[in-house]
Amino acid sequence: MKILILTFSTLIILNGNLFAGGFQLNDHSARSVAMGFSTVANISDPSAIYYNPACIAFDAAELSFLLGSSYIMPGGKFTGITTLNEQKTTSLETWNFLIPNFFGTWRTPIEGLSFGVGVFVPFGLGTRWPSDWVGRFTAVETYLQTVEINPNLAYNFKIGDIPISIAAGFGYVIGNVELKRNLSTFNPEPILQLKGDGNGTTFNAGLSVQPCEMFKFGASYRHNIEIEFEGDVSYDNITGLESKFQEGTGKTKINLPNDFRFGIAYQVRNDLWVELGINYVGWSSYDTLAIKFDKGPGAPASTYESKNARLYKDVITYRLGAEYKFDEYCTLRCGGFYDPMPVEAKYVEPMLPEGNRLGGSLGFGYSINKTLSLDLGYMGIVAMQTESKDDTNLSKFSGIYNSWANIISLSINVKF
Amino acid sequence: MKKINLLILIAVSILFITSCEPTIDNPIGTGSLGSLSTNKDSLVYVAIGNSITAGYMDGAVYSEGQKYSFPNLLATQLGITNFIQPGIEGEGLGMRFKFKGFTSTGSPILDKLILPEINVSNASYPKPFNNLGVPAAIVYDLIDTVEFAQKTYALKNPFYFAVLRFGDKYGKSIIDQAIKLKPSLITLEMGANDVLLYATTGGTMSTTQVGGKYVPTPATALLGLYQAALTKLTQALPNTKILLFTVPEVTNVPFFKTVPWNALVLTDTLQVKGLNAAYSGLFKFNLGANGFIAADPYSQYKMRQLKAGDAVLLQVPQDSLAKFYMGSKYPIPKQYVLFGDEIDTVKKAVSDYNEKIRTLTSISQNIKIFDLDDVFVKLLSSGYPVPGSTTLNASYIAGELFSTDGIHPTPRGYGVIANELIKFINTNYGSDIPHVRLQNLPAITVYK
Repeated sequence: MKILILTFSTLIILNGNLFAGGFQLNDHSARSVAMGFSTVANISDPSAIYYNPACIAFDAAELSFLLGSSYIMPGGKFTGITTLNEQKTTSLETWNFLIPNFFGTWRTPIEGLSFGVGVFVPFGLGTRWPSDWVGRFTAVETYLQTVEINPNLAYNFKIGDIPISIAAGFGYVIGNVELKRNLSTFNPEPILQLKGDGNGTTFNAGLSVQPCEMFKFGASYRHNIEIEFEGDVSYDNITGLESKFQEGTGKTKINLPNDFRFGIAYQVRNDLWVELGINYVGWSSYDTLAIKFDKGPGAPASTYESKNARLYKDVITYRLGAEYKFDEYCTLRCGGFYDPMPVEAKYVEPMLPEGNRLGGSLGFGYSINKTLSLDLGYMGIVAMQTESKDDTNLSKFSGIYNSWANIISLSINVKF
Repeated sequence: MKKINLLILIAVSILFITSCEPTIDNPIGTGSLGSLSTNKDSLVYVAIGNSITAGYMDGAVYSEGQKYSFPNLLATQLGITNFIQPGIEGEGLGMRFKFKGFTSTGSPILDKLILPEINVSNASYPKPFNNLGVPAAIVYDLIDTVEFAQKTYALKNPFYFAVLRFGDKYGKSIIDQAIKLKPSLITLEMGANDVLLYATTGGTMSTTQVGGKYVPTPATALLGLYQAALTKLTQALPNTKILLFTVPEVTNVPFFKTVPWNALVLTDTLQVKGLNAAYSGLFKFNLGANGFIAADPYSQYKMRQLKAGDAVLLQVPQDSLAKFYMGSKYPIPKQYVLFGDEIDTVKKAVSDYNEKIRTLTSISQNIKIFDLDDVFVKLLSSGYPVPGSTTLNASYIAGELFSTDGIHPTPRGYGVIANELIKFINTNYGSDIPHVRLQNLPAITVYK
């Protein structure tokens, strides 16, 4: 499995990485992308491991694999709005991300017990501003990626006539972080770069209840993941300044939020399911971004801690999706969501251009035969303009953020 | 199936988001000139002043630095394209410091270039320069009509001759040359050297002597000179808007604040005993930090021991302090030390100057006071926050505001002056001149 994780992280490193509400990624199957990530109650493919592992116990196949990838194309702009940050618009540099995922499930010989494992990218972020832009002393390049390997056990049983399934899983997460920004005092400007990695563990649980043919309920919880990143601090453009900017180590702790999902799926007619989902994400865990340097930049004799308040707060996202069985081969899907930004506008900063996001999606599934099927999904996300301003703080990097993203997702599902 | 594929493809291509444009409710920095001028073409700006106006930094005037003089930054923001400054080429004119980085122990490495007299590349420009900033000029120079070349030799100041040319054609004094250009806007920044010469030489030189002691130019004399200059200017140019600067109190700039008064650190009891014996109890030495011994020509023993509030000047030979017993066995020469009571003299002089300068608005309603002193006070006490960057402050090099000479601003520091001036202009003339982007001006350049 370690080899698998390494392969995955290599893939992601090569291709970069991306954003969604905060920097959580939900794009782990093409079907879910096509249905606005609303899939919690009604999932019959192995991506259930991420969205609600209890559902894997209802999978009719003995063995099932889902392999896929989402291609995320984010865009963003910053426009200054104060006298010292006058109105000029800077666009994020194009940086697209290929996020792979793999899920496998197995109905064990033990009655009612299923096993599943997933490898996916639960959180990721990547922003790159032009190297000469006005905010280069705050952020030029920010990159975070995580890979989780997540084995689960699910067990289904009946209470009366009602099928119920419960599941629990364990997660091992590895993460990489990279930060790059310019330092202001000298010309040419020294560039500070921090590259680190770390790991953490987490757990998750799921519940699925199917009280009648027409209704399915699902609930799923993923615990927060605390990762302590440790890595190297290095500098560029420091000819003559070597005694002030010495290579050293940097540490930062990031507490990735917990996540609670609830979904109701309703069969409107024989060939049409709709699902309503709500998702509570505990973003308040992202309170401060503190980086400890063992040698302070510019003053290497002492340690230095750069502390930036992030002040994120918990949010609830609303999602709606529909799936229409067109014929025995083809299924059509659409969906949408509203994802409020998990932070007050005045705390938004260029590492992560935030906004209240609206997403719309569509896609289809196609069964080639009983074993093999394909899913394709598209999602468009538009963040409403965010004006980040703080009149009481003159050093605030005030401005307007506009951001958006396009996502194309493909999954291949093999069932035996 | 193919149909569906096609439908989805079409739907996706319609949905595909290419960009979101910002909507700005209240545009700022539109460039409108308000009552400053009816249009850009009729706006003629002349800057009168000393080194601050000339864009002097790192001990010299040089072309790369002149680009960031506050008058040039202001002219650019005003949209003026033909704001002409003296074309000082090469390494510049003055005593140029080139910052090369830090030693392994973190001390700045400064190459000091003694620059040859050079020609001004645009000396044949057929009008006076728009930037009439003459480094080291005093208020008296505004109306002084001594021939420029003669003055340059007499005062050993090449700038009179480099900045002010062809007295017969363009005017015999700074004020005359300004009038010749028929400006609609003048910034007038003078008076700093009437006290700075005294302050930067540790009171060993000045414009004025009283009872054998050097003192800053008396405020009443400064007022009289300013009255004469402004009367002449406003009579010749009755409609010109004049921004008259107060004199900045600069004893808190790095030049006076970087070398500690008590950096005589003794770690050996023998040294302590030796020094106590050598000065026979006149001065006290202990293990740890001690005040330096400095020359004091007006005291009984011709020397004194420094105490809190005294300043050792940045140009003190630091090698001599560290290795050759200057400040311990031998006193620091007076030209490198400004005592606390002399600092009070400087502060008093500046406050008296500014009190007089504020009365000069009575000469014409077109004169407005731009309080540069207040800008400096705020800068030096609480710093100047730059959005998305650090807070500029008064510390030497690291503070980004002051260049390697410790007195004159860096380009970013001149940007702060330009921005405060733009703020003042916008408030007083209803204009909306955009501010300079401080983030895009260099602070300390590192030379290879």
